[in-house]
Amino acid sequence: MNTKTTDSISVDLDRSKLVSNMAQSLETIQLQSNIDAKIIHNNMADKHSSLTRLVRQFEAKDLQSVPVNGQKKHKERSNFIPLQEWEGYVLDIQEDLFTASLLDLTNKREVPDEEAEFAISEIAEPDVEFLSIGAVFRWVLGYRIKPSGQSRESQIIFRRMPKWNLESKARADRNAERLMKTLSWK
Amino acid sequence: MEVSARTKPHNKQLEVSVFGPGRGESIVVHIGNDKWVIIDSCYDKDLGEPAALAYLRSINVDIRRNVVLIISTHWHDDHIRGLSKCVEECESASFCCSEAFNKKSFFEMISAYDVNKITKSGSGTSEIVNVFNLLSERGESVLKAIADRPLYKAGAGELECAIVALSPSDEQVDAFHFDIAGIKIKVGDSRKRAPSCSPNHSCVVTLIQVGEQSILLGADHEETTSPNTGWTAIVNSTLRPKVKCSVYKVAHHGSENGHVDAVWEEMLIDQPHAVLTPYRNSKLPKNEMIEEILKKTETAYSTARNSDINTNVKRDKVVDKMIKETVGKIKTEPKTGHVRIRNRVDGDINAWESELFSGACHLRHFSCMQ
Repeated sequence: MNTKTTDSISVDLDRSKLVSNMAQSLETIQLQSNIDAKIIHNNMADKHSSLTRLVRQFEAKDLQSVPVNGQKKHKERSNFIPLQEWEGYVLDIQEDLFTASLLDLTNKREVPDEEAEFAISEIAEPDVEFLSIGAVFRWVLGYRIKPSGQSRESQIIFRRMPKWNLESKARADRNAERLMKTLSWK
Repeated sequence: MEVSARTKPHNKQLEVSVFGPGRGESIVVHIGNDKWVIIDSCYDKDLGEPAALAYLRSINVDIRRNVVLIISTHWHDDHIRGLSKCVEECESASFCCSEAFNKKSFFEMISAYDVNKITKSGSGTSEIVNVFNLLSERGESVLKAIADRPLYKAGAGELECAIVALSPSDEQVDAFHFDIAGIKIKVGDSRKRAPSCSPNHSCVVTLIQVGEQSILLGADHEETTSPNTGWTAIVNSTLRPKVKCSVYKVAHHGSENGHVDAVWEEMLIDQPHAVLTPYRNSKLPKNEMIEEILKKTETAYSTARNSDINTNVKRDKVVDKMIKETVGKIKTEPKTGHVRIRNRVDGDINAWESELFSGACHLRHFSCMQ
């Protein structure tokens, strides 16, 4: 039930961004060409036509879609319905496995009192780099609903935790210093 | 708490109660005259509070007045869950922890992880930070534990009682700070939960003497390759009280590293009462070590029959099926068990009587994980 993002969402996004940028450039050129039409008419007209050509080519290519495995690629819309969710943190990492402590969020448990061993192959490729002892993740079990049908899905999503920065380090050091000063030892 | 466990010891009766598992272990010792000591804390998830407090309340101990000492042998949340609650409620108790904690690098480390309060599972250091904050607010001093240091002595007119720390040694304190440096946070690192260090160099082993009786509480102490750290350092110490103990809280959940023949030969009587708590993460104790312990004593007990059990949380059948497909099984701690042993202060050192509650068993009935 491994879930990995293998489609080309990022390529789609880049392409649409490019088209949008080009369209903006075109608008700018059109605006400028209205103002300075007499002065730069020829140059702008050239740029305008070449950019228009480029955008049309790109849009035409985009509409054709990129063939994947001999089929036309188009993103299938889907919804994910979660049935069960845990917050986990990594206790131990072995060659192919990692052990994690689990806090059941669905059943509103107060303490992380469950534990499981996961195959590292259960982690989606972009998340593998986040696997380390103490790393925090969400484990969600649910249904993936697509127009073509529904399937069961397990998702392990490592949290992109903020990094310790100078400010948080300084705050921690201040707390440490305050504790050291106010605590006496005998 | 089982009804049969709700009997209070009389004033001249000693008691050692060991609770676990339940995220660590906890020990409660009656040192006579309704005075009590708590060593570490474990959280009883069925009762929703630290096992030590639940038990003491159930036998009508005045927790605020009659707990005189709380010893923490470890710092990680997983091992001392509920310790801050114990410190909060036991207002008259002195708090004792390893001398190794009294250093800037340790405070910087626990404070850094504690800043990281963005997960529901906790930071890994918040329990010990909460303890220090409480003591700081109250203006109370922390009692330092270091090898061969007296921690408690009963006052005049009370039963003769002495509590001594047998570890950490100076070299262990240095080793602990070396370990801490390894998990210290660096600017630019992603935040995460504090990892624990192994072996646990900060560990406090405790010797309790009341009247004729001596009790050795082995904490998570392990043997090392250096003669100046680990169990060898304790056994070879010329300063430790040269007594043989009749009760032993087995070190480090009965692990191979916690088991040292010299401890059994030089620090314990023949056939002492021994109690251990199982530990799920390391699948302890293992079969071969159970056999070793049973060779040393027939009166050996575990607070639970297993180190873990399959989870008993009721879930949708589809979810159960998906769990099976993804991870096989989800494990959880067994119910928190309780081994209680009692003897008269002036009783024969072999006259301890044991009682087992809530799933505790004789060690020979313990089922090891495969």
